[in-house]
Amino acid sequence: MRYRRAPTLDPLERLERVQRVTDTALSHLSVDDLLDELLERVREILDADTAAVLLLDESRNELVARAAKGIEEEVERGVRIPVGKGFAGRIAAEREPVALHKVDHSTVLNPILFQKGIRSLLGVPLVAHGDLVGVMHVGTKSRRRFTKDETELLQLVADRVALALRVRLSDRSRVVIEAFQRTFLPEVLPFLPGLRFATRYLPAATAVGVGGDWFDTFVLPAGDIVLVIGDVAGHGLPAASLMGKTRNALRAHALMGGTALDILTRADEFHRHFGEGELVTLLVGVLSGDLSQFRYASAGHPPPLVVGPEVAAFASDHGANPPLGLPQQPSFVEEEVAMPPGTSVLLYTDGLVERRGESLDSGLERLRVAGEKVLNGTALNDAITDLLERMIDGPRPADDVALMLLHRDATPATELEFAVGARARSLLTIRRAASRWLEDLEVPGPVATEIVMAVHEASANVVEHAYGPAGGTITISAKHEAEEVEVRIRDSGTWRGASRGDRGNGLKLMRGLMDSVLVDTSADGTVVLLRRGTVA
Amino acid sequence: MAEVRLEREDETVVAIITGEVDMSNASTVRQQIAESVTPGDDALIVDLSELSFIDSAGLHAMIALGTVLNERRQQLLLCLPQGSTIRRAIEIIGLPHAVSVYSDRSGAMEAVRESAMESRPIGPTENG
Repeated sequence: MRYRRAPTLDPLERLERVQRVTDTALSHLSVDDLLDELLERVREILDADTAAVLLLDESRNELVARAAKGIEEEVERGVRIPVGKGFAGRIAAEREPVALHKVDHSTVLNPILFQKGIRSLLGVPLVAHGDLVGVMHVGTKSRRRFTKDETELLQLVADRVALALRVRLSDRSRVVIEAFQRTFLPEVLPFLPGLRFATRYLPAATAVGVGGDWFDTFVLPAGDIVLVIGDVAGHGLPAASLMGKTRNALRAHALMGGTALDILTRADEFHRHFGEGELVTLLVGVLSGDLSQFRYASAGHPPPLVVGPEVAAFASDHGANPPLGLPQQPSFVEEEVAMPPGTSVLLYTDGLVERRGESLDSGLERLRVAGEKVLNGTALNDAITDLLERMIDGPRPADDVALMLLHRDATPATELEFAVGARARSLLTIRRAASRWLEDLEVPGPVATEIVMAVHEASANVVEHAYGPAGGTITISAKHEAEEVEVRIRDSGTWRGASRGDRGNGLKLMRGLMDSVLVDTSADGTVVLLRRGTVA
Repeated sequence: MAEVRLEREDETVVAIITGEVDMSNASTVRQQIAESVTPGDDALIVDLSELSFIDSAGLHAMIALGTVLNERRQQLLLCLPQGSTIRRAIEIIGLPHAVSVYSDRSGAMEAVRESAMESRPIGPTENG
């Protein structure tokens, strides 16, 4: 068998070739243009007929054709090669250059190569900072033995490509990840007087892409608060998109009403029907609108840690607790946690309690001990930081960690202040917050209802008249002293005339229900001051 | 946020509203109720006694509905227990003659039957 052997390069020519592929002008190109240009140059320099780059898809452990010259079909057909299989797969698995002098079914997986009449192949791994990024290869239609010089030159190009890809892809994936994080984390934490939340998301130290942990919390129309924490196996965009899908489906399941168990069962059915066997664990909790009771159901998720004024314990975790979507519908169990004032509940993903070489039970015990010390209701965000320091070695955890801490205040606040967007849908939030606050203060029911109605009317006036379409905020501040409640409803808008007749009724209603109603309009906006004695 | 349950007794439509009605859903609720009344009906009873909240926009929607029905010689009767906050709100705002208030559904039903026998519009209401 005769091989065409490339002539040995003289040093000057070699240098010139190296310069062509390390040309700094290339650094300004986009990933696609860079690959395009480099592959063309590589093909010329090595006198090859084809040149191609395959990138590693970590989630599937496969190589995907990304750019090619001379065998463009490889990219067009979206060729995927499992790591370890065939020519490119072998390079990826061994992370070593491979030269092939016989191209057929037995040596390569991709039929396009031999269909195109490729007889010899040379491939090198794309490695950046020790991580495999993909594979680059060149092919010739004539039989050819590639020299050591040529192999080194191809590896030099590959190293440059790998670095560029690493930087640019991570730039791009960061943008995508941030976009995802924005969509999968709750837009706003529910606001309810007497209840405080803190949340945290820590990506794993080794994670390349975003992980599959998430949490969500929202208030249902009837006033119950839903808390969800879940974990989708894997990393990167596939995990993130499954998480997004599961999260949104769960909001829909919750909106249908029912108990935590009902919601979890729907999620299980959903995953069994629409999932593709991915491992998803999930915990759904429902906190009653009066904050007195927390009920949850879990699918493969560790139990919530409940820290009361006196004890720290895990909510009981008996019964079947398999992950979502198993072929046979398991019977999930609903647990109940009493929430007397001063109780904290911590929901978390298993990354918090898993440590190499440690059993899950010891991990849980470490969490219980740390939680007992730290979760006492003061400064929730600081408490989470403190807890993470105790639980995690080093700056970042080995696996992703998502945390959601809620705390029911031990004593009712005599003052209340919050701001919401001046939108019709904020009115429900305002009513909930006001009733919750008045209930904690033990203001008699009928009086509380009338105060809530008056506060609502004042706020509805702001929604309708204070701002233009650009919107603004409504600030509610209230205090309770000497058996009187005083509520200020403030906006910073310029009122457009009360155009519709029904709004006159709003003021009439406020005056009829409250002991006094004062409206103060200045250049800064309008303040409505409501006063009402709390003795029934 | 609010649910409307519809029942019918002869030529009377009974709409029971539960949940909360405010400016964000008042017109939807009004529309839902209005669509349940056919031209052949004598009266519409709207039962607000299970409602947990209604604001002035919601009450305005009820009043407007009463006015429209009145033009068609159909009656609107509201049900609200004595002493409830919503009833108080209605008393503060005041109702036009086209809308009357009863403490419960049976009282409202009886008023409808009486007016049908007398074949004249329903007379003065409990609260005038």
